[in-house]
Amino acid sequence: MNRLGCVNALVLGALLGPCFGAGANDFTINLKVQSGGREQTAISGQSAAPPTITAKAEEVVWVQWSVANGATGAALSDITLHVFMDRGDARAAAPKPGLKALYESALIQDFEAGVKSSGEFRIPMPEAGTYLVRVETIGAAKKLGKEVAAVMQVSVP
Amino acid sequence: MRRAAFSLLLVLLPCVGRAEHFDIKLTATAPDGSSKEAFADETPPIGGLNPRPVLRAKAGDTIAFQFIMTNVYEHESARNAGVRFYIVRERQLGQKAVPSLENLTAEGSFTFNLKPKAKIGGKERIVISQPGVYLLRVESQRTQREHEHFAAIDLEIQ
Repeated sequence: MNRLGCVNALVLGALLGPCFGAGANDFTINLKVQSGGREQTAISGQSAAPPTITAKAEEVVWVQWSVANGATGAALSDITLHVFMDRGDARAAAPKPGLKALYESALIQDFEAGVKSSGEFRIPMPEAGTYLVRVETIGAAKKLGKEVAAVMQVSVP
Repeated sequence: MRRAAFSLLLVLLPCVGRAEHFDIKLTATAPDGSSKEAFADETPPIGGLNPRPVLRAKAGDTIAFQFIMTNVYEHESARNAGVRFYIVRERQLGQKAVPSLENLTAEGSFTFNLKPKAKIGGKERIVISQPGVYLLRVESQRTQREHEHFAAIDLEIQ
């Protein structure tokens, strides 16, 4: 299947998501953001509203994430871990990074049961504004019935 | 669509074929549109085999950089492999030794199970407010091979 086909499959998977769902709870994304001695954590599937952390302009923000498939989780192959930080509202449904996103990364990995992955970045906040950090899967819906994401708001007054 | 575009970029970007283990393409772009590219290198020797390109910009400019790394091996995997990238101040352009990494201007890393033909991509936009010479470098880590690979660009901020 070409990449465009995968994207279409993702859309279809999102539509069919409620029909599946087994194993999704075994696959967890943990997102932690630290700045100026403050710390906030977001865990996929655990909060209705994204948590918020406050930072100052030019202050360095440290973003860390870990992704784990539980010991009894379904084996997942070719999962793209997509991470981005951009201006925007974390409460938006399925936000996407713009061309001027502060940070964006993607890596493709297999997640057999018990496999973990992690990443981090440090970046100075450029200016006052409302930013979001999002860590999400692309391709997990085929097995889990839905994509998995953790998201957080970063407020720079 | 933008997300799809980036994912497509990861998959469709042509392999550059300059190294035997990892293909790396690192690009840095200044606000005036000028851009430099670097490809996979290795140590020894210290500082690598290839001269580093130099991107010139002004203090306060937003520098955009992007890297794509591809595991060239078709059959070998590595558990808990890593990729690290950073910007750090250096004494002079073309400096062979990597500076101390205690005061990084920006940094990031990934730890993951490296699968055959895997691709890892990242991009970031950063404002460097202080004039000086900086090293932008991305490197593989813990790939369980005889040496790691990197790509690097010097940034001269005036």
